[in-house]
Amino acid sequence: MKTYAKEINIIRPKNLDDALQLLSKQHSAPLIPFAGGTDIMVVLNKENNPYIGKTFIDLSTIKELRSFKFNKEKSILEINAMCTAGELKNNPSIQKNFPMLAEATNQVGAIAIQNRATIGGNIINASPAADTPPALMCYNAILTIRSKKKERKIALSDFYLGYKKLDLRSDELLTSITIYKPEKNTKEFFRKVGARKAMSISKIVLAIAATTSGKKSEKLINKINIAIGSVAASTLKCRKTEEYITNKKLTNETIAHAKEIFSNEISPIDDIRSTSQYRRKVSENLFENFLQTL
Amino acid sequence: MNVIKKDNSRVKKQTIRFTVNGKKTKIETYPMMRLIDVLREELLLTGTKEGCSEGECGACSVLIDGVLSNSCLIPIIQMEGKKIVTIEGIANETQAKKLMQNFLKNGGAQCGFCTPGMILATKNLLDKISTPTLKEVREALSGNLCRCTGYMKIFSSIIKKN
Repeated sequence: MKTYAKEINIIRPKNLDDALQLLSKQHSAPLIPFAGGTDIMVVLNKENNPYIGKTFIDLSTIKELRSFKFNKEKSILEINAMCTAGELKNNPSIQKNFPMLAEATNQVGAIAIQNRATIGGNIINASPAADTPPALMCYNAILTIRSKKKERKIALSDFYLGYKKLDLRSDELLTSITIYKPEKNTKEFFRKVGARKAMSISKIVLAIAATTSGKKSEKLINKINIAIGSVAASTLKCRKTEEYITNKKLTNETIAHAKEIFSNEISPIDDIRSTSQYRRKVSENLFENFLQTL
Repeated sequence: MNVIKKDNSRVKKQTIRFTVNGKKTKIETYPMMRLIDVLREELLLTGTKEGCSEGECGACSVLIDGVLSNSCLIPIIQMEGKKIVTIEGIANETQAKKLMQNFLKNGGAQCGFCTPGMILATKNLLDKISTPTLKEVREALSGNLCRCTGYMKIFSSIIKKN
């Protein structure tokens, strides 16, 4: 029996307005949003965890935070923050139109975890190894963040300010994520490198979406999104690499140069899962291989 | 040893109502108490096992409104109004009985600790795909760890039609 249950409180708002009202009122003790619980509940196992004496606000009662909607004409998917990885991975529209997201959600833990883990939680928990943010960034994800008085939007690629540092105030809630289907002639690539096929924290998680034109020998990258996890303090959008390779003809020379810029842009470390050297080498290889296939 | 700093807890117990294995249940406890602890210690349904406390091993698997979940990661307050099914709840179903017989015949269980979770993950699969391939079985059970069998006999227990 875990004794922290006597030390940690949780309240259940009636709906979104009620939740935002409660969040706006907190003073010395911020209310901590509790989504699927698959990350938080693990932290609670530690005796001196940071949640002792705190109060959670349960988001599972808020109906407005569930469900997702695919606008077929505009090719836009709006996902409310409490959608689970399982719901997203199993949806045929998502599998067809946003295959990197379907693949990313399929890689989260395993089935039982996917059934509880939420996309909002995956973003807000902000593990640099998180599976969905690289795919979401490649789909130009825009976050909708609400507080009692305001609503604002921010690109996911601008949201992470450092290790587990977010552009988010304690009275704000991530309510939805909007992603955009890439144009035709876009090739997508998603790869999570982990110790096992399931239940692994990534050593690297890479997503790329490249829109090209021209014949095979004269391929040109018109647009490219490159996002990678586990090689920086947070999920990294590789802007320098993107800028270099955009509007460049793909030759052995430009690919080699792009690989070098990419290698300088990431900052992998040694940790219990992998080494900086391995991460760098594998990231470079995956990136280069992808460019060679275009 | 856990040391509780305050004696009079500021967290108040709450009454939570849900259904377990078809039976209407009401308990009064702290809202952040884990579902696994409520099942095992309040309701004495000890078929659900605690292997890792982190949702990695699947030994604590239950079905919540038909959805496979790790009970070690769920605060009981979220179970208000839910229908929970544990291994005890499915043990008398034809499908599960046949499955368990297969496990016995094919060496799918040794110490038996992972077995409730394996049965629940299998039920979750068979309810969707009645004759799964080996690949589908592996993926369906990828959230369940076994330290004894090496998994192959578990898979053949599920696939073989004895």
